[in-house]
Amino acid sequence: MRIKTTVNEPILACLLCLLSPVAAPALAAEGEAQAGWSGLITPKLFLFDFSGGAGADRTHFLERYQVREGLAGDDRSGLYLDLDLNLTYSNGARDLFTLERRGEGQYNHVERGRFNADKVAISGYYSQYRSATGGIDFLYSPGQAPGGTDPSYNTPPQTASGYFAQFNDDSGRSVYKIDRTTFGAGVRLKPSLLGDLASVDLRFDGYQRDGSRFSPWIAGGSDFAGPQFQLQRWRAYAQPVDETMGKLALSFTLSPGGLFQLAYDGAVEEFDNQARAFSIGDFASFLPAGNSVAGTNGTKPLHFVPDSKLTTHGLRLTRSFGSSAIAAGYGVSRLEQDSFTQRQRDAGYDTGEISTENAFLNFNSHLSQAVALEGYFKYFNRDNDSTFPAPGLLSATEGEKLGVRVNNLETLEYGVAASFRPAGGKSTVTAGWKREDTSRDLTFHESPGITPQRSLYRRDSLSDEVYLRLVSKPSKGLTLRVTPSYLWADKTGLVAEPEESINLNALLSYLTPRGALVSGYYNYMDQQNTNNSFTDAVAPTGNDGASVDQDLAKTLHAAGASLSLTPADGASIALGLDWIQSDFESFYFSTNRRRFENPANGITFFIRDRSQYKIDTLSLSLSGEWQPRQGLVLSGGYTYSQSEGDVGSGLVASELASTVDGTIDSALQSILLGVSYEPKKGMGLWAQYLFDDYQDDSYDLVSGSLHTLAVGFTFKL
Amino acid sequence: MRRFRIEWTAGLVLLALPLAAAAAGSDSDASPQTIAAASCLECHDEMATFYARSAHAGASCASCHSGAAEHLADPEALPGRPDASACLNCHQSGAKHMNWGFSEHSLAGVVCRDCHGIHEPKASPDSKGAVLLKDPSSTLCLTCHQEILPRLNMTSHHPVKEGAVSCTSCHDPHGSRQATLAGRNESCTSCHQAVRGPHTFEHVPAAESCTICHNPHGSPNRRLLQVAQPMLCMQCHSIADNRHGQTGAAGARITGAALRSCTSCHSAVHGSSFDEHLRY
Repeated sequence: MRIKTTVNEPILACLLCLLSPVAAPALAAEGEAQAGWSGLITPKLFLFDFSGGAGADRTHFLERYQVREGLAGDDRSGLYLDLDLNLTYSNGARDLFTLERRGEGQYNHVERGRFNADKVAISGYYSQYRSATGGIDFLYSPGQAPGGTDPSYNTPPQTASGYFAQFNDDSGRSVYKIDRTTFGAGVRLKPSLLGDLASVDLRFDGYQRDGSRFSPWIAGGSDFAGPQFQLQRWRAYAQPVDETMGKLALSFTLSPGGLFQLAYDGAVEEFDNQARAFSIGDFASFLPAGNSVAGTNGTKPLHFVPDSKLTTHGLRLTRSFGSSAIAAGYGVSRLEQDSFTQRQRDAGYDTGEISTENAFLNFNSHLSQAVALEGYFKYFNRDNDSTFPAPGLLSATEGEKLGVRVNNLETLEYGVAASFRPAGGKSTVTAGWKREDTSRDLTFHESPGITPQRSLYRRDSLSDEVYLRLVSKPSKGLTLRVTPSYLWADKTGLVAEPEESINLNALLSYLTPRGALVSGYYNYMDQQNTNNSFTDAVAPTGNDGASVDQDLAKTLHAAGASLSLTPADGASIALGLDWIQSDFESFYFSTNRRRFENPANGITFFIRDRSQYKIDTLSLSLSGEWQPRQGLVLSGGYTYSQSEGDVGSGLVASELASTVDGTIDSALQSILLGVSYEPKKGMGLWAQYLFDDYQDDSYDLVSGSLHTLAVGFTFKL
Repeated sequence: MRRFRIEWTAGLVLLALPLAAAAAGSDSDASPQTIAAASCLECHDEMATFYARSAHAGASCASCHSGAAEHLADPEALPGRPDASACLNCHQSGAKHMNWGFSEHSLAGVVCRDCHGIHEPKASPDSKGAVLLKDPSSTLCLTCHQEILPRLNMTSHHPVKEGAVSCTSCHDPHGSRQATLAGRNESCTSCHQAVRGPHTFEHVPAAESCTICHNPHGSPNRRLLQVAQPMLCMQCHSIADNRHGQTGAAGARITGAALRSCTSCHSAVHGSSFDEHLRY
């Protein structure tokens, strides 16, 4: 039986090569800089055990961000080995080389190495991480979660929305995981190598993603044919994930005699998707006898992920003039699509390209000890240079071939601020103003379709914001930060943008003479937008109904307090308590028909209800350490996070009552107990017990817990 | 095969580093025990170990601490602690720090030593509060940005606690929102290329800004959504009764099976190569 370890074998082999010839000579003693290796090597043993959850054949909720697998391949209960490293090599003058490894299992570890000398630095890293959030998506999918389908929609059978009566899972699996392997290396030539004039950084970063995701989709009304076609439309499959990314970046900075700093940053990044591409025709065999994929719909692609290349260039300049400084920069990027579907090629869609420009100009100046000025100007431009139109695929005149196309998006942002520091220097007040002006070049579908009047999306946004920033240290150890701001917008392009917004961020902290830190904060945000409407009352479209405004209100409260102190020698405690409330209200609109239907038929927008989403989250964190005697350290920690509230109210709430999604009522807690013991110099033992527990009163199936016991033995070089 | 090459390549890089170190030998003829440093370390011997091994070992204490000579003459006259300008004397020439003066941290009065340990690392696995966070540097950020910790503890969060990402994976602590050349979604799509496109049919909020729909630190809603479905979608979208309603009539009942998850049907929510309705 092959013993499965969690240490990457090639890297371990290299480490053994590194350490064996150099571990023998004199080791660095504490208080002296001697040549050689020093640091910590910690082999670890983990035991884990999941309980509860949706079953062994489905993802456990507590696996979503860390998947574990034991030596015997069991992902519910088992043990595995791992290794931590924290090593340093010194040449007697300074630490030259560091090697770190943190291992949390076969699918969660990171290794970093760095060589850092006076003239050059070389670094590299490698990590693996496995997540299982796709498995949680599966548990909440229409075929799994209560209320996911509604059989009453099939009465009478084959109605236009009868598909809600049945969900067809073609995936044949219930567990979904994705591995992300990231790696990179870089070289930095420091100024001391280049005559103190310049520095050069060359980096390569990359990743590989493998796994699968649960992908639902719904076929169009004419995609299938046969006596049950409506019930066959709503489907899902296991979409494979097989992607690689590689990015090469170069930075060159010139700083002659500190007169100015000029930097060039350029990068080329390639993203390749090697996963099999699916189309509607791949699911023809899953249809019951007598039903089929109609006509040429079989070649319609599903969830196509294109290969792409991103090229960026940027130039930045900074110059100081005594007590003033300016900074300027200009950058461009181009994102190009490198692979296309057959349908895109058939329609002549052979260019997918987004290009951007960015520029900024900043200045700040200390006019005196008490007064400072700052200002900035920022420009952003995004062009959609992709093929348009592409007859048969993307067209402003053909039916269902365009909603709205963002041809161009341009934003100008600028502002000024003045800071005042009264005599005594214990407080600074900054008053500022900024403006953001966005214009969009949009192409809507020509009638019939999603004309501008039938959308809440607008061409222009224009907002101003004024703010104060107070930083005060009225006495030793006491710090107060308060930042109120007010924003108003004459135009909002998106209903998600605020027409009016009031914000307040406040933080008070006190550091006692004995080193205890107590702090509290309160953040408040209130936003509203009634600017955007369906059906322009001034320029209505055809026979459309009366104009209706969206009325959106968002309020966010966040408050917390924390305490960190050392109550006795060898003991430390940290405690934090936080509360967040998110309150969101908007109108719930429906229409009598789809916006692109027969132009002779007007569209009427109804306000069905006003609905409110309101969730409170309470969070507690505790951590502490105590060293009762030399060499023995006890540690503990506890976090608790509870979220509770309604996802909607009124009509939304009443319809969601039969599902698991109407309310959020969950609590996630973790308890950690640890002990470390150093029986003699250079050697240590430690153990940690971690208990994680998730309780979900809205969807009890996903509740469960996890026990983890880790023991380790530390060698100190 | 591909993974085999990657792992061995990474291993060879790590193998090469100490070989380069051995070849480089001592890059500095200056002993860390310069005359000025030796004078300081006579009293401040607790600094000896870290100073001697740090990247600053070749510099004298006086190059960062103003008033060192006066302090040597009179111990009651305390030397200055370095502010950002002292550090930038050497470190401004790098691309990372050149716009420090315009950064939000600088404008908030943060100085280099607040985050960086000059004599010893400030962020280490032994840092206070690191008990439940696997990344020491993120623990450091959270000592000031306390309002973020409860977000990281929510049921849907970027895996900072688990050690897969850190604050600096997305944020540049030396940079400025006003002095950056990064595009709006660039921070997100530097890892999430699969949703980047280019898409034939774009979803407007995805093209404008990821944060219209997502809270990247954490959320009580699945998939880091700012607000749960259907409310998130209904702020911009009306729902056609003749395709979502129980009957084709205007005002017909719309089932919870439809309202609970818009993306169960409209799954190409970031953009589609083919379908205007973003169903696939």
